[in-house]
Amino acid sequence: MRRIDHEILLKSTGMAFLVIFVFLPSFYLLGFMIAKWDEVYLEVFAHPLIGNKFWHEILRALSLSLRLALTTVLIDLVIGIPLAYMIVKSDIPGKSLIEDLTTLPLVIPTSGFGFATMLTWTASYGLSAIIGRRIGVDVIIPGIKIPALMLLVHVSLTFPYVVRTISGALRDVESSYEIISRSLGASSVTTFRRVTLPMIMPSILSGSVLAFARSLGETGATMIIAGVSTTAPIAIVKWEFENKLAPAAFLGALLVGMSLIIILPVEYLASRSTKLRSLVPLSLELRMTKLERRIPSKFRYLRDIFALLALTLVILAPIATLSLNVVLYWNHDPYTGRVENGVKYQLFGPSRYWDIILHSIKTSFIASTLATLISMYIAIISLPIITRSRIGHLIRTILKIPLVIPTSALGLSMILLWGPKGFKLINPGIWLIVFTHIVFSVPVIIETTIASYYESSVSTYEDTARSLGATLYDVYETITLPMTKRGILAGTLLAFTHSLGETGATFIVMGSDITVSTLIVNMVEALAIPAAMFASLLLILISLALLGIIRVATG
Amino acid sequence: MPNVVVVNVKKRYGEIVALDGVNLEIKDREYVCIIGPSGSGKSTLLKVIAGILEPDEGQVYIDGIPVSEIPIEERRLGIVMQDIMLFPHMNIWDNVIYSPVVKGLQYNIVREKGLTALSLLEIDANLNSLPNELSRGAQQKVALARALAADAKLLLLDEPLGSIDARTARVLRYELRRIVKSLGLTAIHVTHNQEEAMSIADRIVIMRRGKVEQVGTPIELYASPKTPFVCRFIGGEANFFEGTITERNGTLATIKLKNGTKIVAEELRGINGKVVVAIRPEHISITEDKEEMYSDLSSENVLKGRIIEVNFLGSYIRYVVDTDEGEIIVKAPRNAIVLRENTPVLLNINKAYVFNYPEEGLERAIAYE
Repeated sequence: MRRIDHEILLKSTGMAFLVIFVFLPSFYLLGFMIAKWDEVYLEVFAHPLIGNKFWHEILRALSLSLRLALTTVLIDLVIGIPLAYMIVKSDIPGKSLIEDLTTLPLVIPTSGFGFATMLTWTASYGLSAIIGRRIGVDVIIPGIKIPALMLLVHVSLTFPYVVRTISGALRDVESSYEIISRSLGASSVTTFRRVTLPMIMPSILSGSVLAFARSLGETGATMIIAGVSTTAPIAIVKWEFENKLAPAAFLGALLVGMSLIIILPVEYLASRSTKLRSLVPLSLELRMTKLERRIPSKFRYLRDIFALLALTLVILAPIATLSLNVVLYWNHDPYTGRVENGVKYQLFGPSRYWDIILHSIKTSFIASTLATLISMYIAIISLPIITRSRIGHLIRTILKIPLVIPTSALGLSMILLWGPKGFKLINPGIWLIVFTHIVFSVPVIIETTIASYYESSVSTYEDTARSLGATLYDVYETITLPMTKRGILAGTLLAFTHSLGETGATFIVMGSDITVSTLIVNMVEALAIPAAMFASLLLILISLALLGIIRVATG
Repeated sequence: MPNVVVVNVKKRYGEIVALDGVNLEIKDREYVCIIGPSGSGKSTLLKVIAGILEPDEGQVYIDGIPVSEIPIEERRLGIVMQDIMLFPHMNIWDNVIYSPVVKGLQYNIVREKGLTALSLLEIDANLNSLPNELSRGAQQKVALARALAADAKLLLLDEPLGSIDARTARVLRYELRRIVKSLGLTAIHVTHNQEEAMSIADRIVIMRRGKVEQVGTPIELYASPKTPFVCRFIGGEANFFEGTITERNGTLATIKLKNGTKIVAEELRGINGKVVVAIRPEHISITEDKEEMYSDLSSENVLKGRIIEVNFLGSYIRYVVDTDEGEIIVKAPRNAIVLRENTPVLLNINKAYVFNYPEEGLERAIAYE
């Protein structure tokens, strides 16, 4: 009897933590909307002075965000699939380096990376100088009416999700299937289309959804390169600062709702195998295979070259440009020769950006360390309820949501929930940053832990230990934790880098405790470009070091 | 028409030598089984023949053409694996007609090839079902049908019955041989099951530690094994003794075992000195030793002992007998009188194999590795 009580106690503690720290902030905006619908309606749709002006602005911002996210995902797939294929299947040298490069945008703070991309296409010493044309914030792609720079940044920040999920799936597809297909007479292109592609389809789908949601919610880098264009997350930040809470909350709730609608069905579809009848009629199929047989095998090299070129443009070029510019601008502006536009002057001159940067790095590290440590404990406590209860799968699915909620909506939600405009428990500042980061850190740690839990079939060993007479606590201490240790560690480090680079939500909740990623946004807005360059480079270097630590720690 | 020639093939994985100079010739329309303990290199050899693995040295020729010079899609191989490897997202019909479709054949030909393959294997499953809705045995039949619909001339079977329940596997193996023979195909079938190989192969290749130990028909391997290992691997249990040749009389050699028992056996290879004697359990007859009725133990090929274990195995009875030369396994036909444990018995040896004493020692020479 006592043992069962313990079990219930442990599971309900885990559940309580998840609800308070993760689920409540994630869904609060939806509840807030419903509870204060009259107020919101009045502000957004029937304002006595401006009528439904906000509604029109919301529609405009949403429309831009959706167009942007959709286009981003399409480009992600076009460059992501060949890249994933190259990483898994080809035998070119330096493959693991390429794979590391692909994950860089996931660990580099988005504001720093966005700034580096902007430099690449606009600065006098960047790719723009080579191609002879600046792609500034004002260049709009005709037809779809998306700022070109915004699209570039979103692609480089989201395509790693596509590459990672697809390359993971490609690794799982046994090469025997491809060998058998080839031995049955199929060319390599036909084999890809008819055997490999359908088998990795669920991952393509879930990778795309993740990339779509990320693009829809991207705030940090977008703030830097937005210019006059306003995406939905940017509108939330803007309105929050103007204290127009009703439209901000309404738009935030819409974004959260949209993320839910997109991610839940896909999670459901991906979890079960479906019968995929070929949609192509047989007569067409026969003609297609004939055509595919004529594609020469040299095509493979074109694919690899294309993938490498894309990788260079979206990842290497920004980092190289940033480094180059920091060096060129170190002493003075290379054009005008003005010392006060040099990096050194801005850092150590009267504006003393060096001290500000150092202070913000300190703030960042303290906030991120606290957030990840607390998240790790919450993750460890809530492991049993996910692995050992009937609602476990449901919880695991819901935990995906904090990962795709637009960060500015999350920040707003925190302000409205715990902050001065809600329960008045925590004022904007470092503690609110910590609590905000917990919301997305817990799912990251849980996801990697659960993955390693199932990978090494820990539950079988747990059952064995239970049958040998171990109590739930014994099992947890002697079996579960040791066996999932690596997963917990990897997840925690990953969450730490996420937390360090988070910009959108932090920007709203930080009060006067500025973190280094948000500092870059402020510096760009204050036109302290050389200082921003230096801070971005510093952040990128820190992230690279963290990436190295992750690799060593997780083998 | 495919004949396969393997010339001096070597393959190394780091420190491990998987294939150590393999030479082999497989004739057209032959059903060959490759058997050996796990790690003996049999699967690696099959992959090298298929051209999936490239050997470090040596070459494989199919119909006189080096296999590496033919693109895999034109080799007309039918590869069937233990893991079955039906495309999981395609239904049964789409799996079977996969090859004619990807070769871009005409619709009516595609259909005809699919139906022929299905009827050859007597597949009556719902063609719309997905592979995982079928039993393992039925899945493997579909995989075979897929290979046949591809007009494969050379079937490469890697433990094709390994993941199927024993009863179904036994039925399927005869079916496999029947199809190969009726279509005039060549088949190379890797298995670790010597009984499976004995019952369907024209010839058997026995592999050990990356080398071919012996090649021959099942009867040849059973009747005249070249090494103690082959003797143990083919035909099940065997009794092994160390001894020395003391006398020779034409083709007959007299061997003295450790504790003095004399064995007279046919020995054609002219071996002398220290030897290994192998005796199959079915080549020993067992009779009750009724009170010193036969006390003259100086005579040859006779051992005295006491039964310590009796196992009834359906068609025969297996005895373990404790003798001066150690424990000896004896198989007696079922119709004989069943003797009980502790009965004193006399063992008469009807046939024994004599081998040169192996350099590595008897223990290592007959180990399943």
